[in-house]
Amino acid sequence: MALRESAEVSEDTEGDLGIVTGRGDGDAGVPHGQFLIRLADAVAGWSWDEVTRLRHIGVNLVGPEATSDAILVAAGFNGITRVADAIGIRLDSRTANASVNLRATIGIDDFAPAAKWIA
Amino acid sequence: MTVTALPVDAATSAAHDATLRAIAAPGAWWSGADRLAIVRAARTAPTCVLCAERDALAPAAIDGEHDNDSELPPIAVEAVHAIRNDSGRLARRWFDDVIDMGLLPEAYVELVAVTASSVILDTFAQGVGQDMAELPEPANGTPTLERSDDVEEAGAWLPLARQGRANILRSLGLVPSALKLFFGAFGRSYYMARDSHFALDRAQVELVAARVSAVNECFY
Repeated sequence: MALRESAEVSEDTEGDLGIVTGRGDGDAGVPHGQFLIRLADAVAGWSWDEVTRLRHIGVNLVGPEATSDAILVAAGFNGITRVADAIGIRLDSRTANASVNLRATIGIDDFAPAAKWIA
Repeated sequence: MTVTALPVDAATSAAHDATLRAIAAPGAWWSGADRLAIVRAARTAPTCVLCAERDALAPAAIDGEHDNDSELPPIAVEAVHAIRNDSGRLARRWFDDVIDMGLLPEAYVELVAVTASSVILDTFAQGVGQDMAELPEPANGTPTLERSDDVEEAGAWLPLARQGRANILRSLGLVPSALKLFFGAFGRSYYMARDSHFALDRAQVELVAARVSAVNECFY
């Protein structure tokens, strides 16, 4: 779901989406992209001291509501990735077809080793 | 500007409060007390000694005893901790072991939903600078033993709901109440409704979502 939507959005961005998996630099053409990456990392890693520091930065950089929403999105995806991983779902064709270029760019297929589905 | 806790919109607070109340009620395969114990197990997972030791080992290893102050069976605690702490390395062999050791597939699906929902609520609360929510008292009642027949094999470890435009939306379909619980918690975190709105633009939301998926080593 996220990757399909991300793929559609990426058509409109001019930056290097390789930053999603650390393969690229810059802000991916997304406003305040570097800050959002750092905040996503801290929230996903439950690094609360860093989150606290970034909250303060975010309030002045993007505003309190946007900072809160970024944390809300990150929290949600911290949950939904666990559902995907714990049920062992495969990529559906709709999502795969929509995200083929994006997946190649960011290298996220590396996280789907065949062993995940070997009984 | 100095901040302590960030603002939280009323709809998000209401959705997360409703999720917590729903967890405290009897589910399909676990009682309200059991479901709250799953949340507590998820909360103790970050400091579990066994999980820390396993971090550098093969994730499929199930030997050992997790930190556990609940009444949950050990295999349930194993599942909660593995999902909370190491979901990116979960594999079919681990799942098969969990089922072979006595956890019913339907109970597993509900456990996944409760664990992942609690991850969302607790991550968000701590992220915006609040305390994790105090857990309510469990509601009385017995599990419904609900299991959907409207499922099909789709290459996952468990059957998925027949209906749904993406596999993630079908993933918990074996136990419809579990699917409803999880997406009740998740709904405010993404564009799940026509009126979904964020103080970020779409590209910013997608960037955060994709980055968290990458950090969690989730290919989906």
